[in-house]
Amino acid sequence: MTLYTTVPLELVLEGWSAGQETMIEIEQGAVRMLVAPVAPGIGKIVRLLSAPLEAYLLSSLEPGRLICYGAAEQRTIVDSTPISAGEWGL
Amino acid sequence: MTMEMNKAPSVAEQPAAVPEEPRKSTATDTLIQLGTTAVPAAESNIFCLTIIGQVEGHMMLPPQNKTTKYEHVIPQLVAAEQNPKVEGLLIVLNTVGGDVEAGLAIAEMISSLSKPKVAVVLGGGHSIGVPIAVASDYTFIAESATMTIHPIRMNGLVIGVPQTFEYLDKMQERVVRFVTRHSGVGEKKFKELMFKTGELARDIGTTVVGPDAVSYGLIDAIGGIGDALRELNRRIAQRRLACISPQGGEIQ
Repeated sequence: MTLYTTVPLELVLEGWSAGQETMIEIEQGAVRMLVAPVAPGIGKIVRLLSAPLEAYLLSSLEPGRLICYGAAEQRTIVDSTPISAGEWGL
Repeated sequence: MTMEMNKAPSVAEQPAAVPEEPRKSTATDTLIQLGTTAVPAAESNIFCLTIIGQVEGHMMLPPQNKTTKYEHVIPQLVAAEQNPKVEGLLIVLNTVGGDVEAGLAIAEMISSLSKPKVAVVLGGGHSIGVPIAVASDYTFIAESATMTIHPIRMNGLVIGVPQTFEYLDKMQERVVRFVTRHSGVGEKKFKELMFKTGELARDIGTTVVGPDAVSYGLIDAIGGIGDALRELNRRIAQRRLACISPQGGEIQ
């Protein structure tokens, strides 16, 4: 990864070693997505894993949007390991 | 006297009653006007793509960064190209740069779209934002907006200095080639801006303000959203005409 930015790297990468937030994979209809829970049953969309092409044009499914997934089928807990640990193969 | 004093406030406390108009139900209004209670959402034939904050690539950046995620933008562009309701794309940029690979991927995707696309740089289109900005058919820049052109850098431990230098040089060359191919700025001028010393406090390079970007040929014109939408609609109309009569002949 090469960052080409005007923001100093120490600001961009600040908190890098603090680790990643826990994410869960959910499925709503034809859309499978990765969500970071913010409250019980509510999560922030991290990214769509598989979705029909039209779903990408919906602003309600953009990364960063909140989504209620109480009724949706929860699949797996994806990762809760800090990035630094993963990076060094720990 | 006492009676007058007593009467006066009672008049002030009771203002003349304003006759209230009977409130109509919104649903009834909609039913009368549209024949249905559901208001149809106004569909636009333009898809607006915003590139903000850091362009995030293969690594998730820490949460204090506002990011544009390329894994979402790329299928979005595919969907916009494929969807018949979308006739044109408006790309709005206010970015501080980001991942080289992701930025160039987005720029290449935008430039290869067959539908008309117009970009506007508002605030800033720095570093990797420059190739994304010039990838459209026509680009506007707000008068106060800036674009920082500077070399690609890397921090941390370097193993094999000549090889790393060569790698960075190749990465930089990709950016230079893309920008010079998609805009009116020449390679010599762009590199001159990129390696200029004494302008940036922390780096070498240049901060190009709106009118300068136009004078260098990097951006097509000064303008905002209104100008961009006007240009995009003009290009959409032109494309429609071209689709109706592909050889410029009469419709049979």
